[in-house]
Amino acid sequence: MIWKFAYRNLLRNKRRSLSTGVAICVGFVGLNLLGAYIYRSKMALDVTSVYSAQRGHVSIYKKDSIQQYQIKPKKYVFSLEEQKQVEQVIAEFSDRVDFTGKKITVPGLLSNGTKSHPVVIYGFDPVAYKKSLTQPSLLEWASDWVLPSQRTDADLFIKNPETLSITPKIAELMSFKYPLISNEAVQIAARTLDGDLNAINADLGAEHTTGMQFLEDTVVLIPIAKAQELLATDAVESISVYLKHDVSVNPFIRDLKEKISGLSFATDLYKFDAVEINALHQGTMGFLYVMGGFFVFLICTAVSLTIINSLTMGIIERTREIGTLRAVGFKTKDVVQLFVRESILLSAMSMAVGILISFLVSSAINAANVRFFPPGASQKIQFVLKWNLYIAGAVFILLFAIATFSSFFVIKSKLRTKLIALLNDTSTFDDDSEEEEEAT
Amino acid sequence: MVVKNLYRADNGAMSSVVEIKNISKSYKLGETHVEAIKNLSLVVTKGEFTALIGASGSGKTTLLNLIGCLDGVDRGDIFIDGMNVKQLNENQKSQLRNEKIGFIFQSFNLIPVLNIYENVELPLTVRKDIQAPERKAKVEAALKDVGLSDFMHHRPDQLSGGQRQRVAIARALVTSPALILADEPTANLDSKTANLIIDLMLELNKTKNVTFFFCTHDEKLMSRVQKIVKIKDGQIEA
Ligand SMILES: Nc1ncnc2c1ncn2[C@@H]1O[C@H](COP(=O)(O)OP(=O)(O)OP(=O)(O)O)[C@@H](O)[C@H]1O
Ligand SMILES: [Mg+2]
Repeated sequence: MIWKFAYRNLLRNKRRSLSTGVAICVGFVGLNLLGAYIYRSKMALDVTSVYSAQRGHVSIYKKDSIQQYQIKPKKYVFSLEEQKQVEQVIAEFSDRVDFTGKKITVPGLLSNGTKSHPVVIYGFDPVAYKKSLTQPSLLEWASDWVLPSQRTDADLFIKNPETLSITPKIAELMSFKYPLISNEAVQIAARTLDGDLNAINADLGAEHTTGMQFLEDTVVLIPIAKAQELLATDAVESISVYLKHDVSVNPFIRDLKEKISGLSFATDLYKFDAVEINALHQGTMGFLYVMGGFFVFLICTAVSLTIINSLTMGIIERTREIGTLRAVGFKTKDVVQLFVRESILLSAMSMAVGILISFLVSSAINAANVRFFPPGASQKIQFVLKWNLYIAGAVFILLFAIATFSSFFVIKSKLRTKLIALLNDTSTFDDDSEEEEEAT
Repeated sequence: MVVKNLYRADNGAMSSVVEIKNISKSYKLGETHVEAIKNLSLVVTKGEFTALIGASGSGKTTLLNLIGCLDGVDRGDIFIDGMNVKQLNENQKSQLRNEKIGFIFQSFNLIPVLNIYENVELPLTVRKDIQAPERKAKVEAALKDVGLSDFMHHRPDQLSGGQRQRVAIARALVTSPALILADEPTANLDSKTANLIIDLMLELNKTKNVTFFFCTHDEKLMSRVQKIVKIKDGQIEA
């Protein structure tokens, strides 16, 4: 009966209910799509950090290596013996660890006999690289952030350990001709860990992208064995640990830290989005969260004010009706319930429509294949709204709470009026509502 | 309800539905005080049909509002069915109104979005002790008492003034209250319809022993009423 009553009250002034409903609906859709965009950005950053950038979910470094490796490389790498010890510790977590990969980086010079270009040489584990690039989550969230050829060429480095991969930008800078063929010899030169100059040959045969503009003209990839040859060492700079699907990263890091602290040498563990190794992730997400928070605040305020406004106006016309309800025995909480139910009904209906609209809008946007340059990216990526029920649920709960609280606030303050004043109110007479309905 | 202990010890000695003892009520109007009710005492017994008459501004509405717990007295005590209303909080007053008092308003005060049946059902919807089948029976009986069984599914705006007031009477009746208060129930009706409404009230009083206490301007109605209370300047006139 009270629900029915609430429902009919919504129909009483259809125009007002509709405009409030539209405000809730638009707010819902807006927050949903904003949430979808931020969520997709985070997921894309996460998977590219873990898989494309070869950081793994956790990167293990020698203690202080991040600050000191460039200065005293030899001291801040893992020797072969140390690598074995770390791997033994990781092996204890085989239930959670999918695979691992070793990495070493060094600044150097790339040349093809006629031109040279300063680069950062990334020595990576070809097996881990292949596994990384074929991860379904990478495809799902960041298919744009990996060159198509990169994926098909992923086992080139296994087949030919001499292969070197460059970015399209470097190819352009050094006037390499397409298609890149693996018998074109190039030289890479760098200082060994002992400080001596060294240079080796490699086969130019693959192309990749870093996804980041500021890295795009510097990074070349090469199997780690080749990089170690250049650096005259068997040491590695870091070991990346890739976790199985659905394993929580933070608890794993905690557990790994505990175990790894038992080793005779100190280590630093970094999550893939740690600011020390991934300032871009932190910066981008920080910006998106601030922007998102600002919009959430704006939309919530607008929705709340719309509800308060329309309810305040509606309630004026129903003052005497509220008095009548109180007179026939409705307690204040009964009246509050009635109005809150109206708002619950309205927001539930609006958001049901909002779910549909969000779905349609995001599908349309995705189908339209809008491409844009995210800040700092090396190429355009598709504007994708990956929409999920968790976001919709969270937005639903948020707006629902706001709608309920707003209506609660309005009716509560109205009920502070003395009963006799409510009953004597002359702003409307209860029998002339039909005129209002006809007007709508 | 937690008001049991508020019953007066002498309750039941005589079946007074309303007992008013030396009440006063004044309104502030800017600087001046209007004394609407002055040291007034009155008893309404069960089954009485009382008309409160008096000139405009004499305090009729004020008195009815005080009896109906719609407003509070400045001084004095009002007992409804033996209960001192001064000691009730707002929620308890709501409950008291719901269980003991029925209201008939001058301009009907029906809820426009509810049909006739639902309007009559309204006071019962907040009652936890009355289950659906019993509620339905009560609503149907009240509608039958006022002769509107055939109009259950109509909206208030589809009825005439007299019919609307009968709906209001049914709504007041449906809880079987100890007392029905009516402030000029016929003022918005033509005289023929007004008479029919008074007929209905009289009949309900006779057949169901419903206690009515209502105020009116209408001199013609007075002849038909068993007990008349005159009020002048907030005091009962002999
Ligand atoms: N809310 C109020 N504020 C100030 N004064 C009031 C208020 N209500 C009533 N009064 C005053 O109290 C006195 C009694 O008013 P009341 O409404 O009880 O008279 P009444 O007998 O019902 O009159 P009527 O027959 O015109 O309805 C009047 O002098 C009136 O001006
Ligand atoms: Mg009056």
